[in-house]
Amino acid sequence: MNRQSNIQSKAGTKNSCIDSCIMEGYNYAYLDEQTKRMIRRTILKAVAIPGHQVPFGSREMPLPYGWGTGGMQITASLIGSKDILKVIDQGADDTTNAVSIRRFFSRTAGVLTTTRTQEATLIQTRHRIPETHLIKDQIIIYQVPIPEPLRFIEPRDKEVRRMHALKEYGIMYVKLYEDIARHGRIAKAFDYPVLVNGRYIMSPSPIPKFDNPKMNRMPALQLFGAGREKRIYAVPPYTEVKSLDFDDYPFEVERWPLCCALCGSDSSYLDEIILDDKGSKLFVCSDTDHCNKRVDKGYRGNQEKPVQEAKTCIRTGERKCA
Amino acid sequence: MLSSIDLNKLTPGFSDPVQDSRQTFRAVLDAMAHPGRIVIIDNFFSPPPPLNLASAAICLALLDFETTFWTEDLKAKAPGTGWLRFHCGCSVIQNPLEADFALITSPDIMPALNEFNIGNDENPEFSTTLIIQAGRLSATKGKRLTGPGIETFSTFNVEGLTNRFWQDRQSQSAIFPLGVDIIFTCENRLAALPRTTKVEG
Ligand SMILES: [Zn+2]
Repeated sequence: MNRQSNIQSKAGTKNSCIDSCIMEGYNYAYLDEQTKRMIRRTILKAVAIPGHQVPFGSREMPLPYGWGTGGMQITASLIGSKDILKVIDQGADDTTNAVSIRRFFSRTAGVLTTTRTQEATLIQTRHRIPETHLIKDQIIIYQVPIPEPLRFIEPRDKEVRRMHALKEYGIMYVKLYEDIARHGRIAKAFDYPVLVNGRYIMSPSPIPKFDNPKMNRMPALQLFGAGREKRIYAVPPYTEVKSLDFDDYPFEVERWPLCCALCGSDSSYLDEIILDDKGSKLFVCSDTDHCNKRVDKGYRGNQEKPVQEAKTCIRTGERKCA
Repeated sequence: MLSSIDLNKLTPGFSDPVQDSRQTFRAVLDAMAHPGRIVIIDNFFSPPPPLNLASAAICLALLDFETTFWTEDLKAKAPGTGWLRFHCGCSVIQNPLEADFALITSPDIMPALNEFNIGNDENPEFSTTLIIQAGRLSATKGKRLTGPGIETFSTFNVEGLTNRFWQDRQSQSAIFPLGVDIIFTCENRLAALPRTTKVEG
């Protein structure tokens, strides 16, 4: 009972108190010790060689691939009773996937969970980086479906390895420049490739390119796990992460015509919500914790403000909000 | 193999292998992600000489039958080597070039860094991780460290290493991403110097 109230007061989530009973008859955090040691050795190598994909002997997890088995194996190898875990799926803490993973580690490792970014010691994420700045000694763990940024250019694995080994990345820049020639801009909006510590081109996982600048010199340790592809890679704290671009076509993040309809934020990544079959829509923060926190502080959006009204804003790139 | 281990004299390892391994790994990860940061192993057991607590804990946490291990005290059949073989099940090898992990207990007479595995272009991770038992670790004065994991610079000093070691380490920066990663230990403290860290002074 004591522990439950502690979780609630600490984490303040609806989910955490029902998750707190640790299961018996399981390995701690599910994985056996031998597997954890192998993954831990891989993680240390990944941290020592920023952006380099280190192969590992990925194990089966009780979730299908695509549900973050790579991220889960990293989390399982790190997590302990002093950790507070946050899990997000596309920015939201309350999707089935995020709730399942949080519950999984509450049950198998007896850890506290939270939805609040600033309280978490470990953050496992699928496809977003929280809007709240991550701080020193936090660890963010990305779920990665396709770890190889050169895969869509060069399908031959052997050739791709050679390109990384020799830092022969010209073909990647050619591909991006072709995009500009064809579309007038680099079309890639997600999983936008980055150069880590001036050495390895790396996939940031399918986060929106909006999140890429957050990776640069982030005070938190960033770990990436691809379960199906059996790769782990990392970006240590305060490491340079540069989105690939050109002098005449600098990297830019996406913008929205409106502010968040709920909290009025003009600086967060927004999801489009279709309201009815006439095409009415709203934009709301993808990061639910960030949005809730702003609403709690008294910030409000303007729900009635139609999208048309703001179309002029698209051209100037400005968002004028309540 | 086990014949050289005196089971009557064998002291225990971690009292709680699951949690102690995890905590030790987190300490090493913390150190590796923050080069020069001195991290304390919050654990207590009595490893046999010449192992210090931190070195012993790191070995227990990371070594097993999948890893090759080299140490200079191999020939002397030091109690520490038998202890590690018993508790970790690692294969102790003769050639440092083939070692996943190497433990150095006498840094003044250690091999040159290029006698260990530095990895290869496609798999720089095949390199040796060195655990060097040194003298006092200090973060107040000494070498100036910069690179990934360090916000601006950090200060770090470790006693008991030769000038040749630091020259070796210096020449490794030219071969990045190849190179060895180093964990220094002293009693229950450790600090790391991954291959990315630039050392000056
Ligand atoms: Zn919002």
